[in-house]
Amino acid sequence: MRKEYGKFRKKLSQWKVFSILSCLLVLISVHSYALQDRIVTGKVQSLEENEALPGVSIIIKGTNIGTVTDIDGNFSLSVPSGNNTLVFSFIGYLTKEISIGIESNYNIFLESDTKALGEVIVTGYAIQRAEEITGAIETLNVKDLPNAPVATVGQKLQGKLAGVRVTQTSGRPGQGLNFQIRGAFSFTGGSQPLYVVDGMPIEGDISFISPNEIENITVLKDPAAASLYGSRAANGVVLIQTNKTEFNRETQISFDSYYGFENIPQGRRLEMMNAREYAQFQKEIAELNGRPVNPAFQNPDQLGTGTDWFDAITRTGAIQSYNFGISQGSEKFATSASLGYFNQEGVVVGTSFERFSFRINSRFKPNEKLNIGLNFAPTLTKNTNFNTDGWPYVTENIVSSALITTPLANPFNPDGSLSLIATDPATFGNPNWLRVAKEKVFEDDDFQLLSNLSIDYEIAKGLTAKTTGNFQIGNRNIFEFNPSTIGVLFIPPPRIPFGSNNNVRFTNWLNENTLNYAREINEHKFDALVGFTAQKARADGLTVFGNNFPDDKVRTLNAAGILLVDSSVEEWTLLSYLARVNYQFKDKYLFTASIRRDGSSRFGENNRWGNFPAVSAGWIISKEDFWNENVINFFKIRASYGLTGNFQIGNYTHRSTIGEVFYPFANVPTAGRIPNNLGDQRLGWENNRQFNLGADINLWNDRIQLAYNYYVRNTDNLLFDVEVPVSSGFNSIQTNIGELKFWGHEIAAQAAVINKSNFKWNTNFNVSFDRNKVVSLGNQTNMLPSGILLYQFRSHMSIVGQPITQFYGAIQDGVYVDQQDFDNSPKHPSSQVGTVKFRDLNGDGIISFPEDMTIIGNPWPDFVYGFTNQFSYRNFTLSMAILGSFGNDILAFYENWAANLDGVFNVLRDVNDRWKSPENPGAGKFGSVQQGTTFLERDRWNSRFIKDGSYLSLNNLTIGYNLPMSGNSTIKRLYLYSSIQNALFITNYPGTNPEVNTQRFGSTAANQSSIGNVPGVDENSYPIPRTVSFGISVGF
Amino acid sequence: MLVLTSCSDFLEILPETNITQENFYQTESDFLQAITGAYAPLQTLYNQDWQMTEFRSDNAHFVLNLGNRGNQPREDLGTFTVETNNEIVLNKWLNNYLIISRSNFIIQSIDNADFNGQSKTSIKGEAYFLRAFAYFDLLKNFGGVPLFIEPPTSFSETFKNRSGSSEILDLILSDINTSIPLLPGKNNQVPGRATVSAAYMLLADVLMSQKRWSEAESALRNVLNAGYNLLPVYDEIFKPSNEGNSEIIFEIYFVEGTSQPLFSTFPYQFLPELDDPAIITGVSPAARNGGGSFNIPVPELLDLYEDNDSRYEATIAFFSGPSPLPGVIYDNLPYIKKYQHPHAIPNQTGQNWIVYRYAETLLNLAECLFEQGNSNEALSLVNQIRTRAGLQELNSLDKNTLLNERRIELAFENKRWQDLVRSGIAVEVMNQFGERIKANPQDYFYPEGSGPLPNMFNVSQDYLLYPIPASEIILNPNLTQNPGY
Repeated sequence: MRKEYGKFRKKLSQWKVFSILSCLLVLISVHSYALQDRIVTGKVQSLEENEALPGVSIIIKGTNIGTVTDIDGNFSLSVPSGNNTLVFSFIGYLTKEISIGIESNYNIFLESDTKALGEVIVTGYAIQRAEEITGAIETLNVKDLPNAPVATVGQKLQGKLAGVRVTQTSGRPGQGLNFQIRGAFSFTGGSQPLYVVDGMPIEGDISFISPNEIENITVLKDPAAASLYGSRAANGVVLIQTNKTEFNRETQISFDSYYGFENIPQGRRLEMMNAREYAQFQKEIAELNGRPVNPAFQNPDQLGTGTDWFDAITRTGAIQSYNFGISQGSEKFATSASLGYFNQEGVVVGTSFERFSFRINSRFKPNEKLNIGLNFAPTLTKNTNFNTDGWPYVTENIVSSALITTPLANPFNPDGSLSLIATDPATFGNPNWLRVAKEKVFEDDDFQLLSNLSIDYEIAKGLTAKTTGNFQIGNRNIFEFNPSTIGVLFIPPPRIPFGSNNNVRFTNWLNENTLNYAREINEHKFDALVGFTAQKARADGLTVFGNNFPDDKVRTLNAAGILLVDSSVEEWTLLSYLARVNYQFKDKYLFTASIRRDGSSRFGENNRWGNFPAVSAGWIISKEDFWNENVINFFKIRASYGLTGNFQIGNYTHRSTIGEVFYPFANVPTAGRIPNNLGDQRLGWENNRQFNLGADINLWNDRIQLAYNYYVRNTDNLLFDVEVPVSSGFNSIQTNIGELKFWGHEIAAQAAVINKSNFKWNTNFNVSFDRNKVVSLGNQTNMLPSGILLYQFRSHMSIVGQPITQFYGAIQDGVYVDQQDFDNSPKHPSSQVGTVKFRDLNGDGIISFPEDMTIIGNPWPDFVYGFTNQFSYRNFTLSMAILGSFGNDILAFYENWAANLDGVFNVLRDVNDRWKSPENPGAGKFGSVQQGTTFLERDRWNSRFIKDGSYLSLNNLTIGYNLPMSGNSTIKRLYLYSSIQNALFITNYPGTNPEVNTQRFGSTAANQSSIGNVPGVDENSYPIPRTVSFGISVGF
Repeated sequence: MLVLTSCSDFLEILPETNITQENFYQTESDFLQAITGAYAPLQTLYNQDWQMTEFRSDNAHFVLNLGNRGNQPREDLGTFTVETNNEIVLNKWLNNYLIISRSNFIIQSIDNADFNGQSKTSIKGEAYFLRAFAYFDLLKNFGGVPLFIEPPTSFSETFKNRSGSSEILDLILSDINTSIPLLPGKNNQVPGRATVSAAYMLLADVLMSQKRWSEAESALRNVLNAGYNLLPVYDEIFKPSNEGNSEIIFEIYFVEGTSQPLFSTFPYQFLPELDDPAIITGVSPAARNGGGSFNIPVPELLDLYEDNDSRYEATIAFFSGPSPLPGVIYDNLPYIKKYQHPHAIPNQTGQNWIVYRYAETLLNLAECLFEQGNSNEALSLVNQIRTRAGLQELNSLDKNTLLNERRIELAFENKRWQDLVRSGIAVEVMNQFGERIKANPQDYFYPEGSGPLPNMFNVSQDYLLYPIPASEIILNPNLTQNPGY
């Protein structure tokens, strides 16, 4: 009994507080009731959409008397006599005050709040109000972006975020975009940021996630926010929040779909010679070399235009997307589910991308203290994107290879069937590229499951414990079969059929446990977080290669004559402790300090743990009493400093591993073992110290919002695989050397230029100026080559005191126009009258390499910018996204094959303007076709390859119409639109895509074709199509 | 909450597909595998070695392929227009240093290994032999090179300047002399692994290049009674079915059809380039042997064969027919037959590369004796070779006869270039060779309307060495380039 009683007592005491409060309220209302003389009623609607707003809070100014609107936006309130003012407030809308006259019914229209400051932002382990943020953070509500016809969310983010350069380097269907935050760079790894989806750092990028499932994206650019991701935050952090779940929300059903077409505009093609021009070119080569002209080229004028191979392998592709969504929330349960299907036919024959996606996000609130979230999102993506990008030599990289195929060859036989090879008397036998595109089998199926469980429990007032369990599970299978009818450049069919099957299974799990305490004492606000997390990722790969298939009939590997097997295991673990304290005084002095301690399996025992602290502070000056400025309604300055780490170093590089080789003593393959690398147990963490100084200024009641950031980041003890002389027995050594400096300015502005009820114009502009410099490269050298290897010379060079990875090569000074020019100029042993003339930089009278090579270009832009405008006029909407880059150079490496002077390929039409004789020396760009002299201009990096890469792109143009719906209709919303993606590029760059950047990362082997990061190289990749789509968005 | 037994266990992730160095170089099995690893680069070296030796000499040229200029670095070796960035030159450099590095790991740790006996002795001897073998290849081709006698342990230790050629020579001689007492004889060694006779052959090779004839002679005499002899039929020496025969002292092994790529491809490069090489090889279905039509025997070599020399039929064959090369029709094009043998998989052969065989022992010894004035014994050695070839014995010997006998007997075995260098006639011979080609390019397989450029075959003393690879100099600017490059 006593026990029971005790329980009751406890309950009673809890109730006490509430009862007292209730009593007070009752007293107040009784009191007010005594004074009332009338009841005011009305309806609250949104100004823009004329929709009823439920849940709007209404308070009589200066009192505690108030109410909220019901589900239809109606309210009713007893008002005391006398002059009263009602205050209407609702999240997302501007607060409105109305003084009540004698009427008793009011129709109130609330104007939506354009300002973002009230918005809450997920900043990693926390949710903060925008105005409290002290770091450099960019956030974007993806659902608000136009319905662009794109496969991945990256395309929607292009040009939208200051300091975040998102580029589409290739048009391959479904290909992820390249993210570069604040000029992030690493010599050997990628510069991709860390992607965190619903709190979980995922493996790989985010291209597999359907853009329809993404609610918003937040980019953490500076250590104030990013340092809590410690060892992985050096390249910045991108936080992705998927579909929101909300309690107490009516059922919402939506259906979104679009259908469109993609094609390649004429301006995005390289202009190659047609059959007539090509035969003339061949004829001139033979004549200049004194060789007999082959009859095939004897009469160019009779040949017409021949085959345009680019046309032959490309097509108009269809793109379609369907997405069904439903969400609902009751008091204790909220859910949001979506099912999507996306299909994109590539513009290159044979390529395609398809996605089946499903996501269900749910939240449970069994009681006031407990909040459980559960997300479950399986996605299956499939593509048939065989090798398309990159250089052509002995590859099936079809874009380059088809382009240089002879226009005299026909993809079809006279009977209409596909021909086997494409050749003419001057060129190699090459495969028929249309046949390659059609008959190559490439099936890449990638299944991924993302799942998150989070449990929040309020232990006591202000004290919350949270634990999460997250999984990313994947299974990717790539099946390839090369029938006898296809080949690669230089190796025409028939070939012996071969195939392979590559399977990678991976799991990535993360457990996070945090304790958060928040307290407010008078004007002091304070919250603290401590946490412990553990993460483990493992990938098991198995590849089976099948060679010597007897024929093309059975394509599975059981039919192969020879099977080879390779397997791989990659695994890493990370243990972390984290802590953060936020302190605010009077809501205007803001301080944050945080630290993360990471222990990583990727480092040796001695240096396994790294600490990543950060501090930041902000001051909202406009909240000071002395601030009398009316125009500037908000003014905050902020600063942060902190450390982040780079953990992209490979899983086992600190270990000296032993690899396997074989040697057949007495014809018996005998296993041998060799040292693979020089490991270093002393390998330490790279130090990334970043300082950020920023200001946020809002004018005219937030109508114009400006943000400015300056950052400087120093990275020392660079941790990377440094190429070393191979006489050491090794290609490279993973070590800590050198220091890089990055700095820059970012400006972002957004404005509601016009904000009338029937006409609105919102604009958003951002520009970033990113700079970098090599401070040191250790004691051994002050020059570090990297990039693509061309006859032992690398395309990029980093020199102490200069920007990193600039282009390095010879300087072309035209051609040796005539004998006199030839006699008076320094020469290479192979030089002849008419060949290209390089500058003798060291003045020794002869042209030699590397002695006469220098910096010839800079891949880094002076600035990049984005400019987005959204207009709405009555029911019409128009949005326009512009972006661009200025001042960067591109190394147009495609000229290496597309301007080959030996007559072994078809070439750019420009090549016609080459040296033909002293009287007809051409533009000085391309030299003579004299046999044996043409390799220099082609196979040595030189300034002819360097082009201005500045561009302006009309990235997206969307026009839409909102069908007016009556309030009672089942269909609540019906929006029709048309969208053009990649509408226009304005550029002097002669290549096809000014955003191009060859993706060649990874191995550093000396005889490997590339090392490290290769910025700004154009190897002619998959063309970026222009997509025109028509869509519908319906809400029920 | 997750319970973790221990943080350090959780963070200790070992690579599963590899072992680590901490637990290697300990047992006999470890060292057997390590020495196998040290032999492995020999495959790459000898699949391509002909380009820098035979192909550079006056024995061979190539069919110019106007449709594929990608072969230019290889052509440059034969036309004396090698640039510092030549990839084949880099490959020689690289693979020799791989052998050196792998031998260094063994030499550094084998004395402390926990096993003993014949196996340990042999492995140690082989490591010294291989290191000397690789340094000698570097010395011949580059002169003085960076000297690594133990593995580097840090970034800065990977940077070394060139040592003088005498310093390299001293190491080579000292390594060979260390290896000789450790290495087993032919009957106690697995075919393909180094024997004491291989070490003596290497020693003689080194000494002859220094004109230290009498020391070379005594080294060679150790091989005379080591169980080797001339096979009765010349043709039999090169047959894959006859690998490890009693004439072979040291050969590089290749096998076809294994799951690891351990095959050789050089026989396909010696064939005329054809869309269907099965016409010659009989191995189908075949794909084009891209990069073929190289190392083509030149007319003056063919003329040198005496009538009835059985080596002619064994060495040379001819092909007539259409060619995939622009402007080329094969009209009785000679090619090397020595290495063409039946095999199963196109573009893969199990053809070994013979580095040292007994016939060379005899010819080397003959040269050492001749240089010391002992023509009589030299003559009898040369006549052993001639008799086997079905030729008349000679009655007298001069330097030229001796060289020509070597040229025929060891044709396309990568000896000719060093013979020219050792004899001091390389510059003269090669300039004359170039003039003959320039005068009649079509006799040397150039398509009509093409021929060597004026800058080709301007052979000077500088070209007896190859350039230090440009990529090494870019990384380490303290490395000096050889003169003339």
